[in-house]
Amino acid sequence: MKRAVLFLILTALVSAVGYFACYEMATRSAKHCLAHPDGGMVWLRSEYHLSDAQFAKVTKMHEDYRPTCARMCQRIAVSNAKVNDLIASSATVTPETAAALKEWALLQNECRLAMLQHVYAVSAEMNPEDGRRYLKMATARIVAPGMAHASLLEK
Amino acid sequence: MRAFRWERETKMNTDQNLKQLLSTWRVEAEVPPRFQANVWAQIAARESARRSLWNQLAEWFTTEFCKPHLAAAVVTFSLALSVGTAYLRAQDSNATVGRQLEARYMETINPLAHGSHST
Repeated sequence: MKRAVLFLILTALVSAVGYFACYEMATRSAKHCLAHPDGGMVWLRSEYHLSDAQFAKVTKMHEDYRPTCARMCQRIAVSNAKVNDLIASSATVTPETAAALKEWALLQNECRLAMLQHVYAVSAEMNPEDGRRYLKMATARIVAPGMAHASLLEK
Repeated sequence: MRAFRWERETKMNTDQNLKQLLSTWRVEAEVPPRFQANVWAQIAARESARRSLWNQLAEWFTTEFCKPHLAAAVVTFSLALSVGTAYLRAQDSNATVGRQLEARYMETINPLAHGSHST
């Protein structure tokens, strides 16, 4: 009986070690990406199977786009604040509010266009199938940026 | 009277014949092969049936479980089960991390996400 119990404990130990080893090995890459400061780009490389050359080009494009993105981000923040202030300061729609909203919508459109250009350019650097997948994922966010990607794809 | 006498003689003759027949009769019973072993096996089977399931399990566990072929099968099955479970859980975990990283990447190229955060 003692021998059998010992065997059972050893079996449980071996199984536990197998479980943790397999789990660690299978999640190591994802954990590495998540811990990386530029995890998004690391994920992009892995998810869309970018070669070194493709990744170098995409990274360059990303770096070139970053200042544009930051400028637009700043303009959107200013525009959002202006619209919010105008809406809060009046009980009716004033010409200033209407103009600010129009400007806000135009700016949003401009941002979406810039993003779409960037996304098309990045997808063009990928292999055709990966490029299609990337476009599907990225454009879904452009159409409705506030919504979760999965729910957009479901629709 | 004659009939009674005849009947009595006949009965006596029959008894004599029966006596003779019985004296010649010999019992020659033969025990079937493995008679004792079969009896003991039957007794053991009845005792075994009377024992509780737990006792039988404990006995099986003590005697059979540690035999090499069964032990190897148990270890293999247990290891395969744990590795398979770990793999499935890792797939789930990787999918969750993938969604987080995808969102993180999209935030870096989406000025609308940053603009709406900063207000």
